[in-house]
Amino acid sequence: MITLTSSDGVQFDVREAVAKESQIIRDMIQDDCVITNIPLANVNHKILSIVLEYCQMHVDKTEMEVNASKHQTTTGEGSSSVPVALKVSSNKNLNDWDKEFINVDLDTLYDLILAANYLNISGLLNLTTQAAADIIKGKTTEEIRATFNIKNDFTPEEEAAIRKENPWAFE
Amino acid sequence: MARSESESSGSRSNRDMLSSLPDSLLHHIMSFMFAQEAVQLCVLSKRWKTLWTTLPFLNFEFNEFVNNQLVAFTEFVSTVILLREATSQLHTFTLHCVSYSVPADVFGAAIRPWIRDTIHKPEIINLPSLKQLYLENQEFDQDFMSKIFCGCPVLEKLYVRSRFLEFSKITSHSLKHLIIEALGHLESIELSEMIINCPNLLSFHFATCSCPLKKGTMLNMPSLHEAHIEFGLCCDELDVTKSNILSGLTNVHHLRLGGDLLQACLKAEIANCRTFSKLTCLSVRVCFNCCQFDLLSSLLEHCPNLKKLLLGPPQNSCGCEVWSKQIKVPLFKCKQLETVKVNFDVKDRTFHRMIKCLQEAVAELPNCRIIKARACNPYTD
Repeated sequence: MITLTSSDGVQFDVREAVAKESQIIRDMIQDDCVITNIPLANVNHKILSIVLEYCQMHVDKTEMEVNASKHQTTTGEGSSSVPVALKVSSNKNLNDWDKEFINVDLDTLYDLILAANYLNISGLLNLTTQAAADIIKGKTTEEIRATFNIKNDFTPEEEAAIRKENPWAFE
Repeated sequence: MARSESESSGSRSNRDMLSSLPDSLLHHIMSFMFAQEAVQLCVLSKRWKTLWTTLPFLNFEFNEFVNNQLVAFTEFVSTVILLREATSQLHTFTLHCVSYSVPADVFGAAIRPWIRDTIHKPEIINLPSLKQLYLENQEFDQDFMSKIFCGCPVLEKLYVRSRFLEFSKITSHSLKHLIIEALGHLESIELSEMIINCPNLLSFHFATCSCPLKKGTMLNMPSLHEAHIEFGLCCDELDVTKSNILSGLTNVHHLRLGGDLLQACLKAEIANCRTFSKLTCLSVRVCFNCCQFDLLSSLLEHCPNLKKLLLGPPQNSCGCEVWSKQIKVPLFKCKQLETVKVNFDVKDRTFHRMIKCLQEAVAELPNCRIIKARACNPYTD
């Protein structure tokens, strides 16, 4: 077990495999094998618990698949010795879980993007940035500004000029 | 994402958190968009004005292009390439321009000049940090391919998919992953052989119809770990007797084979094929009848260290003859074979015969077990 401490001092005890979903933690553990407590200065406990939920799920899922394939018998009709519950959750698509998982408010999404980037968890970084891209896509400029509170610091003339000078991009 | 939007009004004192993210993360977000969407974000605010000029990922997709006009699309692509920051690193460049409204040859002729022009310009040919390149539906000739490898000295992954493959030589020391898909029947093609010299190549995916099989291939890929060969759709009266593609792949650890022509190619090659001494995992996706079972068994004789064999149906059912009544099942001699996994369609009766034959074939291999699976993709482990 490894203890991760959030920026606001909350401690999380997690299995090494779960913590190692993060590339920086993986590097730390490799550099120093007796490490047991890692302070994470840039992640508060609320976000850390969400990040760890993601890591836990992805580690569990991988281990489940490994176990399920080990349990397959030569008679073939599947993994009869694997408990039914395990089989069901194993069959449930991880993508569906991810989709449900990332259905969060914008503030949480920003924090998750920053945390995934800081902890270097590439799967989570892709998931969160893709979610942000999906929110932007298909919206007009005004809708994007309104959704994200982006202040338009162009004068109307400047904005018109950009569109006019770059017809290749806006036609 | 309805929830996110509805709650966004209560965001942290209405601050613009998105724009405060560092460039690299905004680029990451923009990498999930097509180039036009990403470029158009420049009018949001001054923060966004020039972000697109340093995008490390460019994804051009004709079908997503707003006005769907070839001339405008061509201009858009060229302008983005010209105006982007010359010093910024371009990591991935994707160009996808299938158009069903324009005849393929017209389209090819129209789009070709700009990509050749851009390649002629020194500042464009110089893509010193480009690692991945995806090319689809262009005409690719030898001249073009040579320029690509000259201009992209650290290119690691190349994906080429086209009806117009007119190159026969690929030489690169940096390339690690090569994917070539030759679409359709290439009537006009003069190419009949393929020479690939990529000493650091790790994976090779080649889907082909007739072309390189007529005169054969010369493959120098000593580091190759994984290969996937699809001997694609069969054309009439195809001569595959000179096929020798398997001999160039004897270093691989993982090998996947499939396609309608596989049987003919195996027949032609198997006798002279060298040993796949490192091969531990073999996937074969083909319509199994008794004849192919013999071929499979001959193929396995060349794979002494095989641990895992995956068998599946072909992508297109091929209407070949059913099993004859009785066949003598040859015994598999791969001493280390642990797993034979058969992916099957329950409706397909030949698979029940298949399982029976396999059970006989592995009878003398006590450590070997047969797994029946119903997964859609027979290549998954």
